[in-house]
Amino acid sequence: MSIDVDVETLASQGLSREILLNLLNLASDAIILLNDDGRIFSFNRGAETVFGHSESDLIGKSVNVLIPQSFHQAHQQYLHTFKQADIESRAMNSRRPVNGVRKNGEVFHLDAAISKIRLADQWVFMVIMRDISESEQILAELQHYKLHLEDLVEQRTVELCNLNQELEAFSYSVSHDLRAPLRSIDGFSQALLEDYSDSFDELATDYLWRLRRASQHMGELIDNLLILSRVTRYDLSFTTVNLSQLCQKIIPEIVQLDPSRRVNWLIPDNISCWCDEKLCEILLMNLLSNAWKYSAREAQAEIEFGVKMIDQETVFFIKDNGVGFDMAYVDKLFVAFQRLHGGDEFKGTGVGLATVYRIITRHHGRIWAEASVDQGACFYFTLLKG
Amino acid sequence: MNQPILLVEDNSDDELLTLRAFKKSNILNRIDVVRDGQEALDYFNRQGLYVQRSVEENPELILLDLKLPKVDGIEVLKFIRGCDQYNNIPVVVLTSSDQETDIDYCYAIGANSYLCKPVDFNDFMRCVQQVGRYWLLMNVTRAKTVETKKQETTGWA
Repeated sequence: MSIDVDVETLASQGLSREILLNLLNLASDAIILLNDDGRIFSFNRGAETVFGHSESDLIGKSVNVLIPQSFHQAHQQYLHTFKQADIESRAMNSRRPVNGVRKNGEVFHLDAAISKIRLADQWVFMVIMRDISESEQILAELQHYKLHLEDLVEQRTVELCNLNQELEAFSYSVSHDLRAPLRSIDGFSQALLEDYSDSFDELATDYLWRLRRASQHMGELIDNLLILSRVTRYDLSFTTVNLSQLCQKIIPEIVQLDPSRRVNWLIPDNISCWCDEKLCEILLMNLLSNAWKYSAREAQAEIEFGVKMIDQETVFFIKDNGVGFDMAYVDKLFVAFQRLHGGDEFKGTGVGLATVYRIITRHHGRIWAEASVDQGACFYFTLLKG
Repeated sequence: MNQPILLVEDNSDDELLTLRAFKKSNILNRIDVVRDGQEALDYFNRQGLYVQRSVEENPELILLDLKLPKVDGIEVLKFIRGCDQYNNIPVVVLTSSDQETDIDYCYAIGANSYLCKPVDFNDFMRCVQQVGRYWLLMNVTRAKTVETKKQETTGWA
């Protein structure tokens, strides 16, 4: 059989004390009861945790034990005023934090609420206190981090600007100073070949041609590296770009490298994309040039540009029927200076696909490849999600 | 008699290669070479080494490198375009730099053409040949007139 339970019932059953002690010890805040002259007569577990004293040590002692010496007088005054005041209680948030002292001497901040009850001709004070030293510390740290973060962002921005300027100066220097000696090597080799051809035998002539080829190759390397570094720093401007038209613009440039080759270009009309036109021209130039280069041995080369939906994503692709590559090395494909074919087999600088990769990254897209040896290669890429 | 071509070039290899390219292209103008920006200014102001230079022998074409000791090519170009006496002379910037900022700036301050020196000497030859053919033979240069003096903008040949 059940009975309706309320506070009155519990009190009538003589349970007031149990309820009181239970409540006191459940609370994690410090709850202290003081008599009229400020001596402690109840000190809950929360108080024990906060102050480090045990209840038995403090019963009968002045509350001053919990207050730093310098505040004793002020506190006395405060209790006195509160006794006289018309109000019954002061809430926690209505006052500034108060100072407490732990058993180990550490002074710390507390939020405190106080109320008074008149018992016979005496006052009884109930004080609830919350240790806010930890949250204050966290707040202070947060504030510190916030300020520090702003400083840090500013500092990093300056560093980044400097670095960019340095890079600018570096690539300027590369573009200007590194080409000049190459021009000399190539130019004077050529002068020797032209003006002194009678004095050179076949071997010497071969050496001179090697000098020329090497300097021209390094010239290409410098050009490609500069493109790679510019792609990184370049400010993108997005428009709707007709990629099909871009391909049609690029193809004649590639074809003139060897007009005798038989290549079937499959470029559907009006494939468009929201992207940076200049970078995408470099992207398509690189991928189409690769397709052209690596399909050189086919009697009838086929190079296809297209688009398809894969998992609701627009994926572009450039496919050829050339020599392909071994998928075991696919990881090295987009790393600068890494090549999957020897320079004698297929010329190249190893920078093209690194540039492609960077252009894709700057568009927040992805690129991947599928190939197998002598079965052609297909490069898939996405440009911006959605 | 043809007017000379002025080559502003600090790299002696590039100088030699350019002279060779002109020679091989049968461009027979005398080529005056100055090797830094200050020397170029002296040439135009007929100072220093060029006190004796005759006004009658102003260049017909100026080939200007950008990266020069002392005074750079940009300053030289600004001087030429700010000078009534010379601002009708075609200036072809011939440099290794293909930096967009350089290219844009040179055109903005009155370069007539901007060419990036190729590494491959045969390409370089073709480049010099065409510069000579176009600017010395085909191009008709504006005469210096009083009106150009009144114009606030820098002159374009």
